[in-house]
Amino acid sequence: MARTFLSYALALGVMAYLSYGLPLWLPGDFATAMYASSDVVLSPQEEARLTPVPPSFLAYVGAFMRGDFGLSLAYGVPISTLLGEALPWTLLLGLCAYLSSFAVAFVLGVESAFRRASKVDRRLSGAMVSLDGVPELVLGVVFLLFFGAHLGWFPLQGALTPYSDKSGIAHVADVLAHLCLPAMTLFLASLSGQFLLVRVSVLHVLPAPFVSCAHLRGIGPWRVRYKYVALNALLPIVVRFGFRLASMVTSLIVVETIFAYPGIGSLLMDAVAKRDVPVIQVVVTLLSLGVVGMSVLLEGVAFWLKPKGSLA
Amino acid sequence: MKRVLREPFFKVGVVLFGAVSALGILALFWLPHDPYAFVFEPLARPSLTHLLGVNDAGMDIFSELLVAVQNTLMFGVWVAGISVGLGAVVGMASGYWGGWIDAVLMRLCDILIALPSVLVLLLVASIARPSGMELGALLGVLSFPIGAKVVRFQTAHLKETLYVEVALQMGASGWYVLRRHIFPALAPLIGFSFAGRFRFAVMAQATLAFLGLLSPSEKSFGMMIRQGMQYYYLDIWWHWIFPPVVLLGMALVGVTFVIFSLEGVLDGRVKGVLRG
Repeated sequence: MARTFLSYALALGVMAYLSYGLPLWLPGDFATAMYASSDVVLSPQEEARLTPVPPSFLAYVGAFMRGDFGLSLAYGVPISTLLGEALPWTLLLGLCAYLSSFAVAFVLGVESAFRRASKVDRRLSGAMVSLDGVPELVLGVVFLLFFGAHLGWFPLQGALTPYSDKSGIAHVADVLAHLCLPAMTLFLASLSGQFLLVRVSVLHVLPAPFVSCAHLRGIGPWRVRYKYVALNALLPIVVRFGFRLASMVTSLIVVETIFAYPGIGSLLMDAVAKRDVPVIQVVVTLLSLGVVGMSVLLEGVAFWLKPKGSLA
Repeated sequence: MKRVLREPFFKVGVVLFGAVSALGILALFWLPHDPYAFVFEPLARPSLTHLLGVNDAGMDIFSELLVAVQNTLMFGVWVAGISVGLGAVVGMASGYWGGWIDAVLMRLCDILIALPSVLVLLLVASIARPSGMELGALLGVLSFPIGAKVVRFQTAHLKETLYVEVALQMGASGWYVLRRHIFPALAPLIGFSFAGRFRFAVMAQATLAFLGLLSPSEKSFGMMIRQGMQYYYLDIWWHWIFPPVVLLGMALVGVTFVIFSLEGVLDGRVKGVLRG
């Protein structure tokens, strides 16, 4: 347990050091990228003024811990302001899509496993395996082109209709209409993986004697499924789920980019295009912190779920 | 093996993936135009000379597509080769010799597993702008530990078997046992994880290219989708955006089907372990 935490802490350190060090080790910076294609010739003094002096690693981490993220080079505003604008959208999109996909995948996975090798199970699993091969990039582009551009059912990009001052119900409806396609893409992209994971984990628990015993004792099918079996299948689900976190973040970035959804992913990709290194550093470090933090949390949950009886 | 061949998923998967690969092989011998020449009328409609039309920079889309297929397959093999190769070597060394070698290698693996590899890749790609192959090498190195852990577990298990013990009793060296007895027993597992890594690599390349993190001069599905999506409001989607989208989907669904049918046969032992 302690060893696991140590590897996470070390990984976080590596990540922070990479985000700190990479921009310093490499040639080229915001000033050169900004003026590369123009006729402006900067004297070394002018260039030095545009290129901030790098802090030491400890100062970098210290400032980060205090929540002092510095200024964006491209916009000249505090990075925390940019984060404050982007984060709510990402949370809205991510939570809607991922929470609903866990819930649906969990129920479908448990039900499918209990009907193993039946027609329903075979079809559902087949469909999920096919869906598993389709990345969010393909889904998102197809949704955007078909439901957005072709049928015109949903707005094509953004999170709100620009320059509209809708309020109340109209505002909520506007937000939901913009949320629909990106959330649907993320939902489907993560659904198949979760489903297959739940199904396999439940299938491993089913042969256990306590399951047949519960059936024999006349306990109702719902109770057996969710209280007896699903709870016992939770441990492998939680453990494997940890491996998926980083790819969930990547999917979120891709989907936000496809639909120009103004969240953290769009902020990051915009910063990449502008070579706005401070923003890249902060966003990547924060995302890593999120992934590692969640992994540690899941490890904790897994530890708590692990049977610790006196017989074990 | 026979059981795999009977699986419908396996057949469909091989057909889908084979169709995509065939395009890549075709490109080795024949390309309608130079895919890097921007000399044609920009945004021209599909015609007999330009089967899928011309993109905004004046490049023949069909030729671009054929080269993109090649690059995708090469990238996948390159990343999977590095990842699985490293995983096999590290896993076998760790599982066979144990002791401090095992301790050091496995701690290294733990840290690499804890590292959110895609974010590392994003950081490196956005700041250092490496070539696709360099980025692939990094991806391979970052993704080997999960495979290494599985190989280590199996190796440690195989080491206890009677035939290995007999070989050692008869004076076989560690290298000989690893080469002659352990590696062949691990071969199906290694082949299986190769398919998994390949799939992961193809997805990663499409993602990175779509996000604009790979050099625009390297043709790939993600890059073509990215360029086409800038013009989605024009009537170009069916000949510019859809071909790379469909081929990417076909390749990935094909590999996924193959992986799942193999998983069904190899069963619980490797189930889900190798998918990252």
